[in-house]
Amino acid sequence: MKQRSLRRRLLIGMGSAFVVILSIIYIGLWTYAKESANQSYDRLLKSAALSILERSFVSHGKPSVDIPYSAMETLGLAPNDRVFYRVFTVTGGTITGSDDLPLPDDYEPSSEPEFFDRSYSGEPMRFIVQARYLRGAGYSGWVVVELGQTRLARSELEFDLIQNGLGVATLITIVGLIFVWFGINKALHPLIGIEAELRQRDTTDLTPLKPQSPREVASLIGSINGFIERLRKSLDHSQTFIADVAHQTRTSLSTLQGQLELAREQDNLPEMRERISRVEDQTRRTIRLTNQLISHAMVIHRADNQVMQAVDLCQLAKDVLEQTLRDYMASKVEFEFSCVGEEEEDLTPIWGDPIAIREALRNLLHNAVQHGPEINHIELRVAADKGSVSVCVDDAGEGIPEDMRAAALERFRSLGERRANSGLGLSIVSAVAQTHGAELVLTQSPLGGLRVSMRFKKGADACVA
Amino acid sequence: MRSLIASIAVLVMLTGSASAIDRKALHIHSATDTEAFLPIIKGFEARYPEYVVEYSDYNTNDLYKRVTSTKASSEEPIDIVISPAMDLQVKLVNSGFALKLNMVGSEELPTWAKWRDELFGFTLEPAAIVYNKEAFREMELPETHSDLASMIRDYGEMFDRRIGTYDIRSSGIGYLFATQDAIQGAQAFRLTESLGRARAGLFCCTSTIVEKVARGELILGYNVIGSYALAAVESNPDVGILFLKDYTLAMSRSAFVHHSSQNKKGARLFLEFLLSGQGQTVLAQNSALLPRQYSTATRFAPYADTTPLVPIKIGPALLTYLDGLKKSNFLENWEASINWTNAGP
Repeated sequence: MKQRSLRRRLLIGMGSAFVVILSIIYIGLWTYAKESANQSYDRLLKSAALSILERSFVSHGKPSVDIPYSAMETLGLAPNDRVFYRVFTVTGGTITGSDDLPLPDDYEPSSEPEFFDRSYSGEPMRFIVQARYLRGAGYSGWVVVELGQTRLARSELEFDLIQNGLGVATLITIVGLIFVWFGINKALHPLIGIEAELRQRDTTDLTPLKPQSPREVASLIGSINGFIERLRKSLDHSQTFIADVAHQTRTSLSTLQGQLELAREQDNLPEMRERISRVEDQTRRTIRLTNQLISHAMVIHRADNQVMQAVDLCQLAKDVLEQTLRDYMASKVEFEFSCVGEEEEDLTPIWGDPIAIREALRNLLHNAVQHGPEINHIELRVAADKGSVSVCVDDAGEGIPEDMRAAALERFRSLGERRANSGLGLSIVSAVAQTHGAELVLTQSPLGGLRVSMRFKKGADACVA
Repeated sequence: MRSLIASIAVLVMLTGSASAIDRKALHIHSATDTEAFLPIIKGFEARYPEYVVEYSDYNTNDLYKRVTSTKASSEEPIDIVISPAMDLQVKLVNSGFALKLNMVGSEELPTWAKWRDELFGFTLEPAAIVYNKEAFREMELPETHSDLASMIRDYGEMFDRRIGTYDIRSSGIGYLFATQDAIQGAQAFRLTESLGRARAGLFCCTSTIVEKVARGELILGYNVIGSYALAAVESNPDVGILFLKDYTLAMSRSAFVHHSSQNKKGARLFLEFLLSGQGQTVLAQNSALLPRQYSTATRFAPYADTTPLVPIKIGPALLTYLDGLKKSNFLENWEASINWTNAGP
């Protein structure tokens, strides 16, 4: 996945928001500027028109006007605009001025000023028409003044207003973006701090991170610390395991060596035989220990690699039992096997790693033999219902006291007196149960010894730890 | 009243160095004495030898008619229009005859000297009074317009038929000065009546009035163009010049480029030259005209400190007195005043 800067994303987001705001401001400004420019310069037109109308009069029975200098001077306040004017009556035509000025459609003389925009003499222009009713000797009627002015001053004022407004808005935007920039940096600062702390850390340093102030970051730190804690525990376990393995192997081999030395020093042949048979025992135990270590490592490794497939537990249990029977052919142990489903169709395969499960069952049966009395009765039962398939191993041994059952699942916690037990068996079972999401329960068996039950859930989801 | 058309071009060709064949013609239509304007043309042609100026001289009203009545076709091209009658120039520009120029240096011009980046004033020429020194030897000179009106009234016999002024019906500059006087206050009307009572003579041009004053036919000329008068006085020691101290109107000779000029680049260069330091120096030193600023030594310099100049502002206000009704009323009143005794019994 392409990694994108959080900072850039925030900045782009805020920047786009500002652009949208600026656009809205611009539209508002444009309307406002147009209106106020028109208002300002319409006042000039109005006052000029009024001052011309004031100087209209009836002379010799005809309407006449004396254009005041001030009218044109007023219009000259828009310094670069061309000016056109006309004074006329509706009936008698133009009295003075440019007689081709445009009029609004259906113009009716009125003392109220009327403004309109029209193009004239090659330029867009603003016009005012306003009338006055003259009463005099020989003439009574409306006299109309029309003034036109180019829009240069208006456009300039509009432009100035828009420019100033946009200038302020842009300044605010820039200041805003600067604050956003600082804000983003400030907000991201704890993350950068965490990153720096993690990066500078020694590889062996698994102490928790220092707590930091913002709530959002505190929970992140909590999660990271949780992870560090799990990692540390797991590492501790591995270290203990390696230490235990080393210790167990060395002890086992030292014992073997001791036995061998004793055997060599024996002159008496029967006694020597006796010693050698002990050496044999010890060798078997060492081999078993080694096998179990390998088996444990394999189970853990396979769990890491998730090699799952459909497994017929019934068949698998039968195979394991057959193999165990071969191993203990000579012993006086009785085995009993059953495989039943609540309904016939309940005996469907589960989703799991057959090799790991086989290993677990083998260890269970082996434990049952090892920890049981010489004349033992061991039951292996597979039972299925709608949602799960469980495997149950009962023995007639001593069992494990309730308060020690949890400990029995840990590595190298052999509870038995006899040295044949490596202490790895139940921990392998436990690991397999964990990786299959199976429920592992140690209870008192009705046969007198330990009952170990593993309940595998059907369906793929049950296999996810 | 076209005079001297093309003859200047010939003159310049004779004095100029570049061949006339590859030079582009620049047609200037102007209401300025050819003699006064020649140094500027020479200065321009020296600076830009690729152009040859064809200069046509008119009086102000004829120039206005010429520009409004003919299209600037290539047969009768008009590139630049120059006139001291600011109101007529404003009217031409207002009617859309001018070309917009974004000229270097034009932003330095004061507001009274430019309009719309189309019309540019390049001189500042005060209205002046010329008088016959001999006649005024034992009299104090008037200081204000009221003084002058009172003096004419008090010494009726001495001034009778011996004052000259512009005939504002035919002279654009005369009309401009007269209307601007009217705007300044009521004393102008009184003065016009005094002139009428003294049966003042009406003339076309400053030069004629100055000549007559020099010869003693007139003893006073009112509202003549100060620049011409200052130049003329140099060769007429009998003639004195006076600028009134209540106010002295000052007009600015203005120029614009015709919108359908065939030589816009040259025309623009000419206007830039007119307004440039170099052009203004030529005006000050070699021409009868007065530059826009009196920083350089000019003939007006001795009077500059004591004369309250009122520059006439280029702008739409000048359109007022060109209104048909307004103008005919004004002229009617003026005629009534100036011909008071002439028309009387």
